[in-house]
Amino acid sequence: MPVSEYFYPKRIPYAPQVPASSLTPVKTSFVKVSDGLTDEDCICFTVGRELFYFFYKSFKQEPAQPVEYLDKRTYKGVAPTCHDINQFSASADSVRVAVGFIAGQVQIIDVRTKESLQIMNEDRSVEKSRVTCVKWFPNSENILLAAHISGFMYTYDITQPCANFMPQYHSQPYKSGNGYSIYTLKTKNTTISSPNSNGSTATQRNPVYKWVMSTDGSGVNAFEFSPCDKFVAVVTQSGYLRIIDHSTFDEYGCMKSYFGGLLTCSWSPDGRYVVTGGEDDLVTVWSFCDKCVIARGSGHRSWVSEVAFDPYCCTIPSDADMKAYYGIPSVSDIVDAQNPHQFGQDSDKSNSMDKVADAADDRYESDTKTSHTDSLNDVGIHLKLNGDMPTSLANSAIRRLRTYSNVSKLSRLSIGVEGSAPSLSYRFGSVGQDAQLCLWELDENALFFLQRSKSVMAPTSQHCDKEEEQNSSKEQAPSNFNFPAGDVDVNGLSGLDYSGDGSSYHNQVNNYHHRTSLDSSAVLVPSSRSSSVPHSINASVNQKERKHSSKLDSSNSLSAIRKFATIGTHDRSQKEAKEHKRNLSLPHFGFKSSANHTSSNTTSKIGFLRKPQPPKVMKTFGTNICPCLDDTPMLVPLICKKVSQGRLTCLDFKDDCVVTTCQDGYIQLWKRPEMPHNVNSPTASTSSLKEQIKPSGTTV
Amino acid sequence: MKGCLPNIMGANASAALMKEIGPDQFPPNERYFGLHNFGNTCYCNSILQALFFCPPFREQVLQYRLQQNGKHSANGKKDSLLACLCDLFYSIANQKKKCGVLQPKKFMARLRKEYELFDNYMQHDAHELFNHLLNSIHLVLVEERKAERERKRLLEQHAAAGNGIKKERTSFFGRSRKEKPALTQNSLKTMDILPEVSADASTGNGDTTTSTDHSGSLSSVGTSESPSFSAENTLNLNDLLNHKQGLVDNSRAAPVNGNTSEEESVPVKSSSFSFFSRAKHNKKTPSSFKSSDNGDSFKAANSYTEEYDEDTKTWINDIFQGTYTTITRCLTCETVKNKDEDFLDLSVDIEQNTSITHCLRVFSNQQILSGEHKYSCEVCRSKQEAQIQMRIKKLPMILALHLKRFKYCDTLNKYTKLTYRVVFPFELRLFNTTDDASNPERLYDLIAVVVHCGSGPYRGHYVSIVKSHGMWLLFDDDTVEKLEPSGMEDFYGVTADKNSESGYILFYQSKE
Repeated sequence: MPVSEYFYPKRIPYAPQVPASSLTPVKTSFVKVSDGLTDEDCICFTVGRELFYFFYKSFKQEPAQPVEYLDKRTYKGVAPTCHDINQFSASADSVRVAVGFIAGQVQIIDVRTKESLQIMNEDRSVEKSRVTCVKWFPNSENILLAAHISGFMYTYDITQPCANFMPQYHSQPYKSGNGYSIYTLKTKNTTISSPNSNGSTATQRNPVYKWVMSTDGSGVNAFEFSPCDKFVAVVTQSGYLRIIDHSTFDEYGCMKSYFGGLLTCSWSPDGRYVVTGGEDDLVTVWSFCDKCVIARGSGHRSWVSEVAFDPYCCTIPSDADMKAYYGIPSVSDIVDAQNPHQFGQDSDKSNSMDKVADAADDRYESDTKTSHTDSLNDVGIHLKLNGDMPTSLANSAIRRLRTYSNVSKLSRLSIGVEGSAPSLSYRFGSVGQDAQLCLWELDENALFFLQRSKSVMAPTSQHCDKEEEQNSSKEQAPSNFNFPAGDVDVNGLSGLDYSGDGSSYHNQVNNYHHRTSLDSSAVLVPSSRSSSVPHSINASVNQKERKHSSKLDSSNSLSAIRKFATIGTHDRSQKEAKEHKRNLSLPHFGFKSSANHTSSNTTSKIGFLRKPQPPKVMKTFGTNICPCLDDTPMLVPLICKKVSQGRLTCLDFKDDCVVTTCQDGYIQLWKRPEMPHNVNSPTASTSSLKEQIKPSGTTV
Repeated sequence: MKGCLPNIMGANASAALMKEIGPDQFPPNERYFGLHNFGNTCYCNSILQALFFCPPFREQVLQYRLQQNGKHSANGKKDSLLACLCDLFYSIANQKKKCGVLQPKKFMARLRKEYELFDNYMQHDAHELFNHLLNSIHLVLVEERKAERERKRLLEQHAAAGNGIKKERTSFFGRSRKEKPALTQNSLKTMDILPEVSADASTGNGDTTTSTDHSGSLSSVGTSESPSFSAENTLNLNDLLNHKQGLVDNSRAAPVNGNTSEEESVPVKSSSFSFFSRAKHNKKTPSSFKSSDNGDSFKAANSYTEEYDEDTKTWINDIFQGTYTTITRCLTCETVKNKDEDFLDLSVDIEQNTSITHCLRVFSNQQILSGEHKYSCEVCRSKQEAQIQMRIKKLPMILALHLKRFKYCDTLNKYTKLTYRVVFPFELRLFNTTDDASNPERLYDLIAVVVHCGSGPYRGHYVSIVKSHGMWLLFDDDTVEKLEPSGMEDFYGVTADKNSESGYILFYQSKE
């Protein structure tokens, strides 16, 4: 039962008699306005053709008097579809809201001064299709981004006028990525520019950039800027999530839905994960560090219309702890490591580890991007520099660091059971067209499930493939070298009786191998699908909970580890170079054919490396971009509750409650469950106090 | 083509569509033709349009027509429902204009003749028609196949005729022949007629239906069911070849008079029901695999129980047929029994504010058979409580999903429409597959939707939405409109309103 409700002013469910396709979603957004002394929470809310702005009162405060609207707009011609408050510039004097409309316009209004400031694309010369999402650029007073159902996005600078004629774009894209491209305005348009443009230069005229986000005309459904302000996550109707650096327009990573369009996305507070929801009824967790799907969640009975992380319920250790205990680098680390590569700088010797990382990244990208044809060269460099690897651990590249620290993590995890590792969990919520609110938790088990499940399969794959076994055994070597302490732990553990954690530990060690052969999930998993007995056992174990990690597996991995350790130390120096070469090419098996990885590939893998890979839907399936269903853990919601009659459109987490917005015009405030795992009790007894809001002004 | 004259009335509408799409954007070799409504025939029009824009189906139909054309050019009369469908599809595909309106007179006439059910001007269930149509086509093909095989056998026998082997012939006759032996036996004049598909030509005198060059040489073959092959010894190689040709002619030959065609339609009717037992029939059968909670919601319509050998597998099976496994676990003896059944479409129960994905999950949810629906366990040799689950084992090329929007309401004593909002994405994967399914994560694309508008099953209107060359088109009888993909939202159904336009049959095509 909701503890508080904001009614749509007409006090009856909003159910207009219009075709569903011209219905606009009911949206809410919040802003904290400070006048120097007190903070005031305000809420902005669009229903149908109306936009409201008023003080937000949580259920904690008594509803002393009826809430007056601070501002209210009624649009006669076009209905607003979305809006965004400029959090950066919001003050007691001015709160700027960008409102997107069904016909493509974007209006900037000030709900504090009740002014209408400017309309971009007023005569629809830039774009005629519906605005699906509008957001201010982070820390920017004047720049905003609007996404349209046509698949285009536009960057507007509201200090510049938006001319009322068809913009001319350069025929050559300013930047062209895999499946998207960015266009800029032609400079010759300056001559026609209107006199009241205040002497603006040509390049600043609106729209500043045109983002073409799809090749097949499928729309952009939503986008979200990352907490680090550097990236924007864009989800499209074609089912892709793309993480794009909005200053350079480089694609950092991408993901595809299981099927159907993606409707929403949200960054975790630390930027390490992106959660999406879409037409596959699933929530999908994408890891920024690993650039892959790490989990899916099934619980909704219809499409997921909005997802949001709950910043108040996420337990995130500091960056240092994350690195130390979990081997997860911070986002800035990744960005820093990626940059030298992106700008094409040749790193010097001291930076060698970065280079290695870049090579590793490159391998990733060469699978998805056609533009990175230099991966072979990088591989060469990688091989040469390999000898330096152990020396500069501090600067070590993400890819490597992650794998190494996985090992260290393992050793510490086993200690961590005794309590020293900080807890790690993310909480996010989702609302859907099924009128359900689901709360999800991403804890260590879910976050590292993938690595474990992969490693559970490692022994079997090694049985199948002697060569691979050797590989992995030699992979083990550097880790031993780097982490003498960890090595001790390995040996110690293998002797000890850590049945539960021991297995996870060894899984992680095995995982080292899988990390380095980046996409081995694609390689290994099909083997588990083949119906030979041990494989299917493993697969079923993976599908179920890891608590059932069978003794068979752990013993397998134990023996495997011992073998690795011994072989590794002896043979490392001689065969290292060769090994790495092989490792580098390994991932491509997975992309090429998921059916049989046992076939020898020495010739084909080289051909594959050179062959440009056109982005195709079929090829993405079964890879990190869109793994098979069995390859990722399937989360179940902590709470799954039907909270309204109509479909839900918005979800926000406040410090004391969860706010859901329903398409019928209700905003409901839900008391948080006291215990995350206690589903039933928390709100049932609470009597609902309803804040009734008097409609102010006449509705048209 | 007779009965398919372009309608001048639709000229304005077609010009509008042309304009909407744009002459440059108009896909070459594609025709968008509305179908005239002869009075409540929208159920038929919507299915026809959906099937026409189902690429593998259209391809097969047109190919079938080509084959038939090659076989008999002179004697062009053909009368099966499939033949009428072929003509209609061919007629649409070969119109000079890009868009307009056609009158599917011949098809409707044939449909009404073949199925008493549709022989009136009442509203009908589009899904029912869809089933009948597929069954009918399947039957025609199967019987033709049999005829073909029969002929081959005959030829072999001709070749081996020197050995003087006598063979029992009755087993080669088609189903319809068996049912009406009296009709055929007396009128048999030549060998050609023996393997006749639908026995239509058999009632004629054979003069018009038989190629003249064999009738002479084969006239010695009597009406006996086990002919003496010595007579055939006289045939030379040329005759054999001609014979083959003649048989093909005959298989497509038309009845000589009206009487025969009417009679001929009888066995088709009866056999179609036995071939693909439909949902209603299944309900009556004492099956232990019924959902316990919902009496009338037998889960899979259109499951036909007969075991098919390769012989009876037609392109209808190739396109639409999938297999689901019913996994029954007796709660007493824990025996698990798997039973495979084929389906041409899946009928799924729906709930308010859900997605088709969820409905399919529910379709495969585990259920307990108890009370009067107890499972008769073979091991226990008694009725026991059991867990039952249905999962898809073989995923069809075209996945046809029928949403059970028409539900029998006990209190009102009639069928009512569920206007629930059930969203369906443009792409789909199945979650409810068996572990041993091949390619269980096959990706499907939405290609057509048959939409029911209105409040009840025998009231309202059917339209279809199809995808063609990346465009979405709305076919409403004789009008065709372009539809933006975002407009699909109008057809998911509504949460409150009774008078809804809601997706009724969804056609998904596998991407691979």
